[in-house]
Amino acid sequence: MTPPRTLRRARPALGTIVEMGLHADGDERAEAALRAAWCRLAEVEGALSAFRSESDVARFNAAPAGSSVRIGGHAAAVLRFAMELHEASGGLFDVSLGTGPRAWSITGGDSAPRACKHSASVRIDLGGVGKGYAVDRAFEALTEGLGGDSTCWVNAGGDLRVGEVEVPIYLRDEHRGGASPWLSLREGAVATSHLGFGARARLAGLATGGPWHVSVAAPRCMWSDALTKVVALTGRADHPLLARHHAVAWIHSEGRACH
Amino acid sequence: MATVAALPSPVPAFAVEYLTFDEAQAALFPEAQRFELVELTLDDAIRQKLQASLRMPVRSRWVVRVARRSDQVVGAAVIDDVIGKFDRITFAAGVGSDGALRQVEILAYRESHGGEVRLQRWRSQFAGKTAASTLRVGDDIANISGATLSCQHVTDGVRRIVAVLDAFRKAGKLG
Repeated sequence: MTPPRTLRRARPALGTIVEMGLHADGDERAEAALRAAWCRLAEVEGALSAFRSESDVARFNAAPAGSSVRIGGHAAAVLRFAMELHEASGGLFDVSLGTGPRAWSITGGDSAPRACKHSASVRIDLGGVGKGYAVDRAFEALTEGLGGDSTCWVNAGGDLRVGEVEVPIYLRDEHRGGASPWLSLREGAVATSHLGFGARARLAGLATGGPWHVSVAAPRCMWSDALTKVVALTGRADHPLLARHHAVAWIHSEGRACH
Repeated sequence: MATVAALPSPVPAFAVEYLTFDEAQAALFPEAQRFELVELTLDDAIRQKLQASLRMPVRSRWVVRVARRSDQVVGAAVIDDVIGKFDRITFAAGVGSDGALRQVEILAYRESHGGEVRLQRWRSQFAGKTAASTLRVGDDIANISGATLSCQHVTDGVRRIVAVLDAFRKAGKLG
């Protein structure tokens, strides 16, 4: 019996390079699983990208105040999670980026969800959570395609989800280039946010000595992705929301790591 | 807050080979029976027009892989490189005979020490499969986390290939 071989593919998607990998016994099933996962990823990106005029998010942003737009299951799932995290973080996590944290809502249940727009100025940007969600869905599609076998992983430019396989993670040195061994991940997700000069997020209380990175490991990539923002905004790698999501956070600067 | 100070550790470069040239063209055009490798030259006036409309440099010589099924041309693929801040990415773009982009596949991704990526000597060491001692080839399935990589260079490179193949098609050079 030949040992399973590693199959890795990468494509530009989600504004970054997305890699999918798996240990394959039979090439045909592995290739089909990869095709299904790329399709799932494209489907999620098509629903969540603010840059695509036909996406659920872009249609919401273009809608007039007082109206509602029909959205799909992907947008509904991410927006519901964003709403929960907004409440739980005392308003820190905000997919409206300050344009109207409470000026949108979701109605209609799971069968026919709608996003309601309560003010003309509110704009939604799922940049802080959507990539993690897309990674989770692509990972699910890979696992389904492999008949429940999760010896696979999906990495969207540093936000990644790993199944029942040990994957060494290296941390990129944003200043000098290259990458240093950092941790080994199995059955979980990790996401990293860069808080350098010009980055959208700022690390609270650590304004000097940067650039900084915040990394969060959690069971789901959507949680990791979103929680990096909570850690960045509070400067707390021990924020209570981490434990609630079974997550661990690290704040790194070049050559140093703080817990 | 406890701070763990660490000595700067060696910073290895990193490479993943995803697909060979042949695997990439087959992935882009699974229906093709054969690929014909042709070297084509852009007419200088067209090249300058493309540079102006794309707002990026466009070279004159291109190696194009024309995908054929029986006597029909089903499309064409081009393999190219882009260089980012610390990375060099080799990618393939396939365009159907209707001029529409089929798919983009990454063939190889290399993360370098800072600065070295721009040096020709550094680039040429990847010409074969031999890797430098500090280079980690992706057999151990390592992944990198960090600031989100931008795929803008790849996106720009793809745009250029689509425009160049369009010019060759209109000039009747793709068969």
